[in-house]
Amino acid sequence: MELYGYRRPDGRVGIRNHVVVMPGVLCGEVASRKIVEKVPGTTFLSNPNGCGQNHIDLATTVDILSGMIANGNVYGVLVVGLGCEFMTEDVIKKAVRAKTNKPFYYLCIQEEGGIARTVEKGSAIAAKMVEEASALKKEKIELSDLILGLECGGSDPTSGFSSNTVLGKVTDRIIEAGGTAIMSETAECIGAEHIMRDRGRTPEIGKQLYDTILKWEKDRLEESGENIRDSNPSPGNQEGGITTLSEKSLGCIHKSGSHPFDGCYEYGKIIDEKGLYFINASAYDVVNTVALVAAGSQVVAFTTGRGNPIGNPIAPVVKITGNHDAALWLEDFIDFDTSQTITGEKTFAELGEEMLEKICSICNGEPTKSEINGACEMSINQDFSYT
Amino acid sequence: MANAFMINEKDSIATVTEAVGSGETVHVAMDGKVTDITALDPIPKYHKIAVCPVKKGDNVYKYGEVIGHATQDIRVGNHVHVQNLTDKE
Repeated sequence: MELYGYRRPDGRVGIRNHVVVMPGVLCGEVASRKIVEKVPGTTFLSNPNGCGQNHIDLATTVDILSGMIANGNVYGVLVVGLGCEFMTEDVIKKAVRAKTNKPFYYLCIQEEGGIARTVEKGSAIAAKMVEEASALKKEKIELSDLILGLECGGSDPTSGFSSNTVLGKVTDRIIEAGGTAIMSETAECIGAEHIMRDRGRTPEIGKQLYDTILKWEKDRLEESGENIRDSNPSPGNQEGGITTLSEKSLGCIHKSGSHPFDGCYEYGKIIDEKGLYFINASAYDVVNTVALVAAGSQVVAFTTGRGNPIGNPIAPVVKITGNHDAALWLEDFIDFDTSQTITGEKTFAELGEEMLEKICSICNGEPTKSEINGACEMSINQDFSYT
Repeated sequence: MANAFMINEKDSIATVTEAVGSGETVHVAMDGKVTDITALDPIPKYHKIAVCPVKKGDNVYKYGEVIGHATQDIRVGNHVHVQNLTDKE
């Protein structure tokens, strides 16, 4: 299938063309929302933070938000601040400019003189950006331009042996075509760290993957006294047929396909290289989906057995299940059913081809169920309490 | 119709897609081909059945990767689960 997308001035490629309005701090949300309501064609990007954070959490917030703005799916952004928050115009602008030269505008409510005046001025800016963005023509792009985010959540036994295995075939195809795929969810690699170590492109990358997974486990133990290994696989997992933690984790990491990892990066990093990458991020579905999009993913493939309806404001999230009952019962948010690998009606390779076609069609504009439902959840990982 | 499948040709086990009784024939699909084996134990839905013999101490493969080692000799058709498989030392 031929692919069409937007080639951005910063060299990135988009499959959507969002004009984003984002509060610079949660306190700027009402004015931002009113601008989005007033100007058709704009996209609201929720910002749950921006103030009351220590410098570490603030830096993470800025990394994630600037990464989402720099994502190829975004044409330009209007940030609506309040005027007294930690994440000032300088802070967010500097972070965005370090990643991209796309249109960036900033207003703040205290300076503009209230909600109504901010909305009036902001709407004019947003409307101008929508006009410019609508004038852009899609160009032919290649599979090698794609950055696929890999996520699994609400898993059941079919996730490992059906949907993730089929998704692994899609990942392989994109990597073989010279594209990019990003996996994360460090906690779900625990027990398979030795396998991840062997999958590094170089021994150094393998060691980084190995150390990252063990550190995640150690940090959680120190934080809460919880030993993830003791409770895994859970009695429910074992009843469902999973015997060992390696087996459980393999079910998760199988979505990354069979090629070696070309790098291992921390949460908040934007990935501009081709190949297969790992991001050290939480396995909480919303945090991880956001992490993948902030890392550059234009589209996220999300496997689920029990079903999860979340989406993302910037990237289409494709819901894939190996549980045929879930595909029928949760039809209004499931996009793709891989259960024919379980019944033996189709091979993993055949369904991999069909899933790739589906993802390509979504890249070309077919809306995902998450887009139709308007799902656009945002969450950014915080290490510390608000000050 | 197949009622079990292998993910990788290296695998020592297949996953059954419906509960199977001891002595029943299991039709194992791998890349479109189906092989028949006889279950030696009752096997619950989505649990593992051995498709090749594994000696005590040898690795057990799923997804083409090691998921643990056998804690006792496993015969073709045995239920592979906590009683004969572990990834602990």
